[in-house]
Amino acid sequence: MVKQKTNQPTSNTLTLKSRWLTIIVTLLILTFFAYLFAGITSLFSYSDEIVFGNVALIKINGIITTQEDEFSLDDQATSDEIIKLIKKAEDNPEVKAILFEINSPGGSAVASKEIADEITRVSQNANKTTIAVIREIGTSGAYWIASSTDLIIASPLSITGSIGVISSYLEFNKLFDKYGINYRRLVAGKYKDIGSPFRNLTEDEQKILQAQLDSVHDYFIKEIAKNRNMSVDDVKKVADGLFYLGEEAQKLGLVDILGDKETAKELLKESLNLEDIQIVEYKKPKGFIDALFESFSRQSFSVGEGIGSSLVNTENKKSLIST
Amino acid sequence: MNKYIDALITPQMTKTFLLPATIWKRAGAFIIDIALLDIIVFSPFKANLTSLIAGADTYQKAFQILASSQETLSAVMMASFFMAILAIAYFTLLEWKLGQTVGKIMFNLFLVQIPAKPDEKPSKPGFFQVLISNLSLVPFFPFIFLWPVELISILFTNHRFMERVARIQLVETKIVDYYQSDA
Repeated sequence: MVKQKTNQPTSNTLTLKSRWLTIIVTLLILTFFAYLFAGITSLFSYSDEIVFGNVALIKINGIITTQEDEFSLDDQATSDEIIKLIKKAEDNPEVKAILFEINSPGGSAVASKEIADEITRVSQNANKTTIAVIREIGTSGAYWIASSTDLIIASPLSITGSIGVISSYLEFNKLFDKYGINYRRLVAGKYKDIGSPFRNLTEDEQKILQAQLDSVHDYFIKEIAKNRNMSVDDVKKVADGLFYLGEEAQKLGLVDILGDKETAKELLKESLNLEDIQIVEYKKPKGFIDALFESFSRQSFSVGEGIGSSLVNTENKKSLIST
Repeated sequence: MNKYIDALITPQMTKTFLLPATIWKRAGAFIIDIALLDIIVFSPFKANLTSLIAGADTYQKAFQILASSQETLSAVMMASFFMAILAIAYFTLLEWKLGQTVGKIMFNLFLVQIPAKPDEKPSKPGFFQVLISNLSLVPFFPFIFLWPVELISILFTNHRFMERVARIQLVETKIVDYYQSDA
């Protein structure tokens, strides 16, 4: 076969053009789908507990409860969620220590005990150092939780202690009398409606409730004594329900060191012989709607950031927005 | 007769031969294609997954952490699935439409359909033929078992196993110049 060469465009050069056009179109389509699929994947993998670091940070903010009250606007620390986070940190071999940042006035005795027990278990079985850093407040049940860690750090101005038990409620019987409303008591069992807000407590009932509170208080004191390696008598001296500022609490043996999160980092660096401390927060994973909303928010932020930077960085370096 | 003198008096002839692509050219073309896919297809996944991991500065770290968590393993599987689908789409669409990918163009390689009869000319492969040949890119069971098979097949026969199944072959052209003498 004789090879012929001409200067005119041949079918080969046209094929070459259409070939590269096909390649470019295919790559553009693939790029579009790559971004689309990557977006879908990130929505499903969007979870804040995916973290990388050697110290897990778990925040205990607000009232400590066993179950979340979905209608409450206040911060809540539910024992179920906190325990899940502790277990996650325990399962991660990269995590050498767990830092509990406490900012809570306490809450349910049962929930506090559940969290405290889990921390004790992790400290003993999983060989992970646990530290509590009390921020503004760490009283009552929150202090119970803090006491179960290996070390308590608090600011000199932190409010802590308040080792006591409370069970109070409003009585409406006088208000009912005012409006002519009667409480018709129908019970099977003498104490079935003990603590009902619609009538006064009898002396007998008050004694029973007080005895129960005292039992819980005794249990609380014993747990603090055990956790803090103190005698029960020493704890009893400070377990009158009074709160203490950090400095005073340290003198009373309720707090180990005065400081903050940075103090905890330095201590961990030394005790665990780590070159670098990377604290990463473990928190409740977001739901699909939350993740979607946050994804849109991030995109909106990027768009806004782009517009903002175009306004600030004009060609002649004249800024439309100045500080 | 001196061949240069012969060339002056006889027209130059060329013959194009189709030979199975050499393993080095195959490898070179594949590396270029993967590099291109890495930039165009894989980079959005890498960027997205890396941005999710606090403290993970590289995609490898992020991937490792994501894969180690039961909750996020499904996301890793999903990302791997999508990336494989897009990689297969890249190879299949271009090989179907052009018989070549970008890497293969660089090394002048192209896919042909193996003729049923020896005297037939090789033609461009069909869509399903290239799709079948690219199934070995799927990183999931049972297709991962094809990887060692493909490697052994290329090393010993210079022909991928799945290409053989799909009755196609990656070839390169060899143009031979020759001079026809009347003598």
